Amino acid sequence: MPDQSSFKIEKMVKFRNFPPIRFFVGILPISLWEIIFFMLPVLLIFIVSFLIVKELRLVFQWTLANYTDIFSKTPYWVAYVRSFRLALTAVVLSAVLAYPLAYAIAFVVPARFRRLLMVAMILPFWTNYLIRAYSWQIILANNGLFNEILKVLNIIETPISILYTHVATEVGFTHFYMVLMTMLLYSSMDAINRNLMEAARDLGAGKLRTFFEIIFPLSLPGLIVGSIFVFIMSFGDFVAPSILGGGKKPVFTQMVVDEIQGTVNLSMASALAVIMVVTILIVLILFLRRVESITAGSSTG
Amino acid sequence: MENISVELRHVTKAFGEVHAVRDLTLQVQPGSFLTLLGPSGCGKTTTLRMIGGFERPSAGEIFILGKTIAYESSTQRQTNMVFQDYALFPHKTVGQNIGFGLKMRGVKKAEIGKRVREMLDLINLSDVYDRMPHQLSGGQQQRVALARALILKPPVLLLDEPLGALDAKIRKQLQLELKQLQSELGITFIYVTHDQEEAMTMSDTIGIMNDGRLEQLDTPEKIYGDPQTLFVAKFVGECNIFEGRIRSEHPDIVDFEDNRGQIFKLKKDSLESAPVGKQASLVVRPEDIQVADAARKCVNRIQGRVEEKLYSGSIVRLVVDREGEKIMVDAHKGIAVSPPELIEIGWNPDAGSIIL
Ligand SMILES: Nc1ncnc2c1ncn2[C@@H]1O[C@H](COP(=O)(O)OP(=O)(O)O)[C@@H](O)[C@H]1O
Ligand SMILES: [Mg+2]
Repeated sequence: MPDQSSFKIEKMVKFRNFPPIRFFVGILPISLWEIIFFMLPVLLIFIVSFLIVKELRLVFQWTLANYTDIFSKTPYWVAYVRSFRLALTAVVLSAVLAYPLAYAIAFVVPARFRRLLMVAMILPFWTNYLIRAYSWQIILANNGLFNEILKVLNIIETPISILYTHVATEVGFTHFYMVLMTMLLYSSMDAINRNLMEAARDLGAGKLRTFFEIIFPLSLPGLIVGSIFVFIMSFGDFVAPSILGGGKKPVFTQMVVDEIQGTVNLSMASALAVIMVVTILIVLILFLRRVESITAGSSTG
Repeated sequence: MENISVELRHVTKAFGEVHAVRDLTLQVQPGSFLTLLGPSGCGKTTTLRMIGGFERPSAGEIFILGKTIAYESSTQRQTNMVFQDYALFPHKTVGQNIGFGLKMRGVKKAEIGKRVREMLDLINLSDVYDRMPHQLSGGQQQRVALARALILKPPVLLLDEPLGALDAKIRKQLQLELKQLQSELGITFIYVTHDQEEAMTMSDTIGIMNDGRLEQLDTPEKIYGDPQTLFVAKFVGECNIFEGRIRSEHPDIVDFEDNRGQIFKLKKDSLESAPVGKQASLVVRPEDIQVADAARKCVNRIQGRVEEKLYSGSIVRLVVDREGEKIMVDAHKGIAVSPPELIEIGWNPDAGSIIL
């Protein structure tokens, strides 16, 4: 044994860092909640996805059939790609719209109006998600507000069908998640030390270069975290695609629902759900690592 | 005009109701080290920021090398600033930080790399090129900030309390390095601090600011030895102040009568005019006052009782009570007096200075 005493001390230190028992007792309700209502169901879904359903009943027979089905049958693939594309589009749209907004709130709007703007932005979110989705129906329908306005302005004669297409889904996604994106972008922009911008200017950078050299890179953590959120939430959303997008071109979540409500194939639904979770996990891991590497240095200055 | 580096003419800056700088006029010689010294909130940073082109004066004019500031053009700047919190770009390496100014000027990559390394050698930090700012100590960050500003070879460098965040030991060392660097490079430094010791050791010229006004612009010796206002006298070092009036004027001596009717004699050379009968204050530094035997030979003498004797290093601070008036005297630590002894203290006409 090399240095016995130091080994002992190290062990003691480790032991001391270990939280006391009452800490665990304290968080027990939360842990139990997590375990019962989150971990267990996910585990259950995972297990069920490797079983099969025969005559509407779950049969305990381990198989990869569900997965080979998903990977070999076009409708699943098409729905998956559709979901992925819709979610990515939502990310791009909300980023493009939210970035200038967040920039304006952080750097242009006088400080005393900032809070007011934020509240105005969050206010619609006190309304239920479903109700907001139905409100968009009123606006986007063939005889809805949007088409009526275009008609009055003599821009169109026959209404453009937006409702029950994925354009409407996208409108919903963007509206619902843009605020989140704006908040996250704003908070990372607001954290930028104003002296950095002055320093850049002092060293000869114009407005545009200051933006690309300083502000944009330092706002990346907000942009990435925001994108992750928007992606995950739109990828997993069922409400907007159903209420606004209709069912003609189903997205992945709708396939899951169909498997449960239509064919009552629990194991297939589970396999689809597992694929969704894995997709989300991959996105999370890929991008969060990127955020970590960016934010490593941002704590100073 | 060409032989003045920076000139401010009646510069005023108001933020709404707050007057941060009032009617400030000063000139800085090329290659000199000017320090703006004053308590916090007196307008030092605002003055510096106006010279740096970050704020526009509400009134008055600023000239750098005889020209007014080019606010619009970011690459034609004549000054560079070292920020109080360094303002290093957290997402860029040390090398990228220092090379930033050159990159903005379209200098070639290879050339930037070469000059950044030269700069790092100059500040004795050759091995941190690829590190991130947060991996450096405070003192190292400070040097990088300095290098980033100096690489552009500005004729005027502005420094806003650049050593304020460092601990005393590193501060002392960097004070020396800064001063050396400044005289080697021959760049005009305009330096802001609230630390009077720092100002004294580094500056060629000190401008004392108070409540947005420039109280006195002088060499450190003059600022300390011949303060023009009571504020300057009190802000720089400690002093005894006697209130009174000017009694009479001789060829090179002025008689000052304090409120108790005692006459003190003073050399006249520090006073431009000595209006007889005018209210004035006499300032005498504690270390200029002699005690006991030495005092007996002095022209101006006071009787008093030693009230306190405080040791601090090689000197002792005596607090002498002159019938209710406390006088501070610094003496050699070997002095053989102790409370509550009655002693004589005194000084010669060349020691005190009068503030009108
Ligand atoms: N941007 C500003 N808006 C309003 N008041 C300011 C601003 N900058 C400085 N001031 C005020 O001007 C005065 C001088 O500030 P400053 O120049 O920072 O002083 P110092 O650097 O000597 O501590 C202070 O009263 C400060 O509150
Ligand atoms: Mg300041």
